Amino acid sequence: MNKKQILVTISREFGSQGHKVADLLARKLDIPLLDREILHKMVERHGFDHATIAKYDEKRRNYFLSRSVYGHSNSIEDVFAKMVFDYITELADIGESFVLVGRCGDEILKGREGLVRVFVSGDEDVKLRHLMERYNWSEKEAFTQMKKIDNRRRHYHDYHASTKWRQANAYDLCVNSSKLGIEGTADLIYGYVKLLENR
Amino acid sequence: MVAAKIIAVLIFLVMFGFIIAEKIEKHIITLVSGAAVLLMFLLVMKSPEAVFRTLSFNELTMSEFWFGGGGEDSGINWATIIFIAGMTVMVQGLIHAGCFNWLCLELAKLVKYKTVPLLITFMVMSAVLSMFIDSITVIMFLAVVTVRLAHLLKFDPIPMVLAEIFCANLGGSATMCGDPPNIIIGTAFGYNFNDFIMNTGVISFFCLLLTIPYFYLIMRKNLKESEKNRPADIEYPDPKEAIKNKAGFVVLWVVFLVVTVLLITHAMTHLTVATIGIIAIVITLFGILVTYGVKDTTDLIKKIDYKTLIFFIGLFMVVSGLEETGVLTLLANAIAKLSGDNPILMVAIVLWISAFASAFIDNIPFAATMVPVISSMAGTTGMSLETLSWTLSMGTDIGGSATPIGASANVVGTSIVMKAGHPVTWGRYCKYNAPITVLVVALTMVIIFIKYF
Repeated sequence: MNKKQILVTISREFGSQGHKVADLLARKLDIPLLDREILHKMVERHGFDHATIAKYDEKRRNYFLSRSVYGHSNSIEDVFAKMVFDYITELADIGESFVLVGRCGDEILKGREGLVRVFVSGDEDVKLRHLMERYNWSEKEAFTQMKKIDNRRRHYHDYHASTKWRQANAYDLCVNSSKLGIEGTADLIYGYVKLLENR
Repeated sequence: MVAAKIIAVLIFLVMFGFIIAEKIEKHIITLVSGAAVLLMFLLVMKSPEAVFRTLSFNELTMSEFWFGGGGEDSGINWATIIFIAGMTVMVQGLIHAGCFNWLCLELAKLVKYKTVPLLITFMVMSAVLSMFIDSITVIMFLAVVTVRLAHLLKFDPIPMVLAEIFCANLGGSATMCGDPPNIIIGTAFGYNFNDFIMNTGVISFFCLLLTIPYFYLIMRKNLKESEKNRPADIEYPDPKEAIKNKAGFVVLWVVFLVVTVLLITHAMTHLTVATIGIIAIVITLFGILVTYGVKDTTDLIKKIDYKTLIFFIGLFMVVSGLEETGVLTLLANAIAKLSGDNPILMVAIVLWISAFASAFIDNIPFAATMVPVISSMAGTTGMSLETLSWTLSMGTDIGGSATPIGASANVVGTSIVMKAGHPVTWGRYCKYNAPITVLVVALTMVIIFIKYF
């Protein structure tokens, strides 16, 4: 008997450690993690170099510097997003299971059976503390970066999706990782996936 | 009516904002904006006459609209819309028959895939084809073939595609049917195909002579290296692979030839571009019906880009709002005042403003807005309307080449190259195309000064 397809999308606030949660969850579920590294390797195969990828990934197009005509967009951000979305959709179409970090997964995979859309948030003070430790930033720097990257993720998501980033009804599960920590949050999502799988 | 002027300008600006944001489809934006203009005429100006003038339905019932011609520079320009519809149908037919793919591959074969002749051939072909069909379609095919050949022959496709884009925009400026601004200018002032060829055509020809060596100098190193390093076992594409139905292929080329001849001779035959548009629709559909059958014909009808036609209808209504309220006369007077009624300065201002504006905003709304402006300038200052028309045409058509967002062909071309793994940043685009745009606009200015003063 074929194993049921499991698709988990993790949208996350910067500093909430959503990536670590996703990584742990993927290991617990024994399915691949689709994150920045893997998606970048895929885009590299299309001929883009690493520096370009890092510059344009998960960013919304600049309205004043790009246009689209008959479905052709000349925004590098849009071209990237399309490649990434196509890759994710192809994997899902052939029945692969995976945990996807960011990349508008909740929208791209919307409506598929076995999909669990998760939003990982965090308390501001906990997120700041984590960012200061991880990147050696001052509190001010961490705060500025947190706002900047969250804004970027929101713009990217809202540009491609019909729902709003952080809006509860766009997800199946919203969880504050500051309360349960990485392990506890991953366990909670794991339990949710398993419950759903056994229904 | 200050309130009406303010409302008309606001509608225009809001429309532009929505077009830039691209959240709603363009044709809906212009149509809703156009409806708002009509409401403004009725509620603020209390002028049902302005509504009738804008809708211009009476134009369609006049015999000279179809035969003989004559200009109509206010309200919806139905001749432009019908002509664009006709050309769209014909181009869809040519695409369906594989004509463009075949032409690109055949020419590449003809120059034995040697990169320097390939660059020059594709640049010239881009310019020549764009004289008769829209530059978006030309680039859509040429860029795909260029990328394919670049991967095969191992050269960087970006400069070559950018050269083709530049030439497509330049070629479009040469004829009345080459670029939408020219169709708008031509139908508004009653010019014919020959008028354009003898004026913008001549200027474009000299500009092309400057453009070809410019791109050759930029690309020569890359192209020569690619020839040196070319593997011996390349499997070249066969042009015949583009032809699926031989009879359809021949018939569609004949259709293209007939429409081209009708356009070139319309000053003699007195057929208007609206009539030629209708003829193009009828013979294309008939040709497809006879050679491909009913299903392909209905498929082709479904592919007609009605959204672009609605976009134009809405746009003309919004521009009418600016015109009827007198905003465009104010703008014309301001330009005339700025130039101190000096014709040479007036030409320079119109040319450089048109080029600069078209580099950043869509040149179609810009041209539609400027048509009544230059008409008013000519009326109040005695300046030759023809000279201003050619100046506006060249400025809007060439200026669009300077940036990746200046013209639709740029967007389509850069998008195709990027999808093939060659990101075209603003910096890279402007490095190649901005200097030649400035050079060509400067050359155009010199030619206009010599030719008309």
